[in-house]
Amino acid sequence: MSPGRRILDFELASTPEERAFQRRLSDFLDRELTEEVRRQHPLDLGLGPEGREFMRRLGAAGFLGIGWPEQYGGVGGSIAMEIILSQEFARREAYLPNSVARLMAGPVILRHGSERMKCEFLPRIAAGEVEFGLGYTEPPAGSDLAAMQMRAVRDGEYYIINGQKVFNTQSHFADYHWLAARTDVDAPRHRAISLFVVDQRAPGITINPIHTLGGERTNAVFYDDVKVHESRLVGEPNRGFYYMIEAIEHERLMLSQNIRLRNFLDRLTNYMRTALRDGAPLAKHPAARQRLARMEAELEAALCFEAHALFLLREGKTIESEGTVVKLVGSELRQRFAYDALDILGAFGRLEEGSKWAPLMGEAARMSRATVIETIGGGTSEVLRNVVAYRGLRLPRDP
Amino acid sequence: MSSPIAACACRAIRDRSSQRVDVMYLQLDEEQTLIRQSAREFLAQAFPSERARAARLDPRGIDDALWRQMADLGWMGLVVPERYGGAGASFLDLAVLLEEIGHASMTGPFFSTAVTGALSILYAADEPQRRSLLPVLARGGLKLALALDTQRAGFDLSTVSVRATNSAGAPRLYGAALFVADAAAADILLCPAIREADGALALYRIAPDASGVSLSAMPTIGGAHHYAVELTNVETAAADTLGQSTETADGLQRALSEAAVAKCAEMVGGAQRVLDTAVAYAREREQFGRPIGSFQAIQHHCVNMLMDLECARWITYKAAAAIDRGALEPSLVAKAKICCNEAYRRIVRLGHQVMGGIGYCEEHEMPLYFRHARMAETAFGDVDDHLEVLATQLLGDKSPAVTEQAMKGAAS
Repeated sequence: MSPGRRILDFELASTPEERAFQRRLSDFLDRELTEEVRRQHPLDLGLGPEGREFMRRLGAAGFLGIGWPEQYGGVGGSIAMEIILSQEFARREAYLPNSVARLMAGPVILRHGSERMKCEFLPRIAAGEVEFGLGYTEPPAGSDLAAMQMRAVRDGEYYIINGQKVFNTQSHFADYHWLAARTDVDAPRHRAISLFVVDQRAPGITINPIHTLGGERTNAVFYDDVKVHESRLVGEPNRGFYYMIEAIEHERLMLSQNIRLRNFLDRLTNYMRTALRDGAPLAKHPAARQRLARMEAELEAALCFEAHALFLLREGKTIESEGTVVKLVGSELRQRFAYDALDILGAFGRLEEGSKWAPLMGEAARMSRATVIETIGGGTSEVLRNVVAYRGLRLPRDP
Repeated sequence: MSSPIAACACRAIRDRSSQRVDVMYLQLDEEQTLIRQSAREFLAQAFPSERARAARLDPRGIDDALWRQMADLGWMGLVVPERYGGAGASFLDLAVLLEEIGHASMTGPFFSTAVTGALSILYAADEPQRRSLLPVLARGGLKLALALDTQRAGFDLSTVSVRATNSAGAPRLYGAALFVADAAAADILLCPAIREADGALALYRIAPDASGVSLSAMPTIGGAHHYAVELTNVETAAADTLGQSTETADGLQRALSEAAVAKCAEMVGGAQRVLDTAVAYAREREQFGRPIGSFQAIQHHCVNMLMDLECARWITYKAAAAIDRGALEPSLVAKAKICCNEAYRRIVRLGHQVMGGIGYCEEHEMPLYFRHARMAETAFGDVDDHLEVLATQLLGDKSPAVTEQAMKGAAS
């Protein structure tokens, strides 16, 4: 290669610092990430005492607040390290705690919050001491977030908040609610929403569980005259919707979990090497062989494109819709994987964890249930396709 | 050599077994962007879709004037090392150029010469042969076709059935090779054959007009570029054997693997053109009083095309970069070809759907890409071939028990 030319490199960690960071993280996780903590997310979605303790140790070891200024508890480091962090957890099929605070609340507070708010929350997020829950979705506002009805009415130094949120997945264990509410009834709907940090245990908040097909608990959250001090308003009033979406491509990329499938696919392959189907080796079953091979090919391609998009992110390049395309590709890929795995495993694939006959500890069955939401939550595949159509492909908007 | 491509190709002095550079880098660099832009502009002017339609039905594919221009641009020897008169460019550079070849729907002997032919000589011929053949090829003075006898169009060397008789020094060839791309345009046919003496694979060069060589057209969906090459007692001279037969199979396999990646790049370019065309049409074409691109059904088709395209493109680049690093795994070739085949098929189908009736007309460009997709998806292995390659790597052979029994039976 001539000087100045570079060969494409698909490794996430490429500089010596990044490789050192990855090694340090990997050592930490080998030591601290117990099976119990790893599985808290898929099993119950709550952070129990072990999960809380793990999060604090993650913070103490300097893996939270990457790239934030030191005066707010940040630990330095690059966006590449933030990417390595989330990908390393995904590779281990583990739940990286507090994504709402790390990826949404923290960065928005950093960009728009008051000095007081930064000092109050950022160091505690970076220390792994507080968990935030997301408070966007409402019964009338799913994909159409700007249709939200929750009202925050100014009353002296306070806002009085009333209304209902739904599918707020972390609320039963989170310390704070990252809440969007309407602060103006006359302005156009996108310019009438504000963001608040609300103590999740404040008087007037009721949290009712909703149990899902995937086994995760989520919540309906009711606000009844909840009093929130004006210092908990994030940035300017009525700018909340813009704060919510300004970094959405970035968030979608950081939340990409395609590498989770690597481990799953390896376990499925290992299972197939020894399992029998109708008395014959499953590894010789023509349709099963083809399904497995296609899964390998599709995962590789999705990871290649994802790596390119992550490169754009880490280099600060313009990202028009790559994050959304990665989300679309990944969510639909995981659903296909679940069905492919079920088809390969046949009747046994339907067995849930706990059955002594369940292959892969019932993971295929669980995955088929849990991936239903992936093409719905965080923007339905249909809405996301609309977004890519006009932002990425510059097609005219649907009037 | 005043074009940007020639200029940058000349600057790019590199060997493909090069050291790794220590920074994550995942986008095309400036030289590749330049290759793309200048090739796009050149082909738009020199090879518009009217010419692509004519070339499809012309057994020679490309006329001499255009071939000369392409050679002057440095395209023929793009990945041929400089010591053999080539530009010594990276495989990714070639992939970018091939995307533009696919984008322009250029069929014909460019691929068989600059890719399959050049790589076969590079990896399977010996040093004096490389020194004599490759500089001529790089100058545009030699068109090649690989007469690999397989109904899988260049996927599997184990199906070669052409035989070389055991006459010391100058064997005679007999047998047939089907689906030989661009045989009628070629100055030299590269013909792998099994030596009767020892059963080894050897590579011979023969002239298409030599005594005993017969070409018959195999008209395909793609056009007039495929031939059955029938060999009846074809004489060869000692100098017509390329390379040492101990290295022929590995060298040809390497050439075919890299050619498969190159074909992926060509398909990505074709798919990009289909998406570009569909999106442009969807912005302009009005039905029910509004551009059809404002309908979500059409938007979603276009986004589905984009999703497929991006995945196909980046796995192809990964495979090209692996070649540049000297670390191309057979499984990555298989994965890339599976993804490109399936992506291109879906993209062309949706492209037709967006274009409506006009895209069904031969005078429109869509049929060129439909035809290209049908031919490219069988070249260097189809989806089922490559799925089996991957499955064998992951799970072992599909029927080792049967094979062992058969071998026992044969031994007894």
